[in-house]
Amino acid sequence: MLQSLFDGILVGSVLALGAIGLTLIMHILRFANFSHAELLSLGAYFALTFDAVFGAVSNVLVQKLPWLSVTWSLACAVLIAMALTGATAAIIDLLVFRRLRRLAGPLTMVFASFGVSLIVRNVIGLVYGLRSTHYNNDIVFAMMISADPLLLVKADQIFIMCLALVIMVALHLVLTRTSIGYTLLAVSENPTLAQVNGINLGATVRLAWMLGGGLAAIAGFCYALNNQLSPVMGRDLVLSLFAAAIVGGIGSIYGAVLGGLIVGLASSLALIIIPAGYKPAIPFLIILATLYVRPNGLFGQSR
Amino acid sequence: MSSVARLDVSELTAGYVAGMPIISSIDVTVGVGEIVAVIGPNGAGKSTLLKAIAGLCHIESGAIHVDGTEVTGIRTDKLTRSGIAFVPQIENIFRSMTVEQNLILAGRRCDKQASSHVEKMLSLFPLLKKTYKKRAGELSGGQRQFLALAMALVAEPGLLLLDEPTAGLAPIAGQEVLSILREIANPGVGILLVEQNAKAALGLADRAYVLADGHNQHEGEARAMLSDPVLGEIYLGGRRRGDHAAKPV
Repeated sequence: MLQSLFDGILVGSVLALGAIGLTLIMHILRFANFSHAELLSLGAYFALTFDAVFGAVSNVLVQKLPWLSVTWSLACAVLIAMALTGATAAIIDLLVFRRLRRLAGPLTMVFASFGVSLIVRNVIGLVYGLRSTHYNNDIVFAMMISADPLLLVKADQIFIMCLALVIMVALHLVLTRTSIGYTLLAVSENPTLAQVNGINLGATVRLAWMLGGGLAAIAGFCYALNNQLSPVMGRDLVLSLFAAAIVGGIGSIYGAVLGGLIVGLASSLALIIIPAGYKPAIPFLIILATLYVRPNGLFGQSR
Repeated sequence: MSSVARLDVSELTAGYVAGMPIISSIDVTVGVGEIVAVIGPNGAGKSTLLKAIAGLCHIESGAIHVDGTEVTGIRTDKLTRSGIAFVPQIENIFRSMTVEQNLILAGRRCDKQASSHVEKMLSLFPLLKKTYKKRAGELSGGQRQFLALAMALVAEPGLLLLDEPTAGLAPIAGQEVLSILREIANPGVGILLVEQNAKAALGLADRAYVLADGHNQHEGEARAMLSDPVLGEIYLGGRRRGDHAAKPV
């Protein structure tokens, strides 16, 4: 039970980071972006690439952070991955979705997002190969903090939870204390009223793509650190991300955080009573239950 | 105060979908510090007119000038930053944000001294002081309208476009909202007011336009319209006489 709770919070933290960008874009642009999950894969692989680059450039960076299997080069690579994934998200919008917003309806954009996700997934497979990999081969020997048979915890997992918490607190401070945060909240709640209040919608949409992409990169890195890198990790996570966004309420950033934790905990706790093979069905059940009981999610507003 | 003040709309044809105009060949002017009412039956295109001026509609033809400068088709955010404020009829506040955050956000479109402007708004609308830290979604209907007005005024616009500010309000709250408009217009702010309560709007305005089926039907002094028996019967709730058709402008 204790282990399931811990695992649930861990997975939920990763889902929360990934769902924030998804919920923002879904609410502002009013389409379900199925390619968002591929940004997690992209971010994770960008981090892998730059980890290798930094590791080759400097021997100092190959040193591991205390207690963790993460090297300094990987930590630096994650920052680069965030920026690159954010930029990639904005470029995908520029090349694909922006044009479709003008010429076609939301349904076309949903199908286009399927196409984009397939393209991104296959390009990753083409460049990095279809085999799963790890950031560090030592990762499987990561130090255990708790050897209690009821609760097995790795230092990397604590690091992931702390990182997610720090990012969420930082995001909260940005949203509630800065004009950029007010702008994002305003556009996510009511894009027309935001324009009426002098907000440049196009620039804010680009910002939302970049923020969503950056957070997806961290989520992808965290997921890969705890599991493994695979070109299909986006496909495996997409339903859980949508469940998190829907449970929290489309458009609500705080809802996405809570939704991520709920989906993570539910998926993990469900394994106590159902066989592991049924785990992928849990997010789907959560989506159905939420839409049935509370169609606008926990924090969502009817539009 | 922004330098923007006078609005000239000429031959404006606009709608929500290209090729399907809601309003046709509309002419409207609003002078410095003038309150101009736009009245007419439901579906006349009153709100569409305001949205078209605010850059939220597809403009087919015609021109919009502000202080002699053409602003037709200018992006809404640029237009509102240049001194035109628009208060939509519904969803005119950010419900998930506090009153303070709403005002700060709206004040950003004027200049860097937004905080001093926010103070001014709190003295103009003392009710908002008490609810300053509350979420806007928790406010009453009247308080929300005051907040929407304060958000429009915090950037010190020269021209205010108001879409049915009393809609959905209790009569007393509606009267409070309308009574503050004269106070707003006195320093020179022009107001273009769309209002369902035609009598109240004509009682407040200097001039008025009557729209029907997307066209200008009448224009003139508001008080004269209020006492016009023909208009009274057709548009102000009087008995309709079939042989008294409104005279086109």
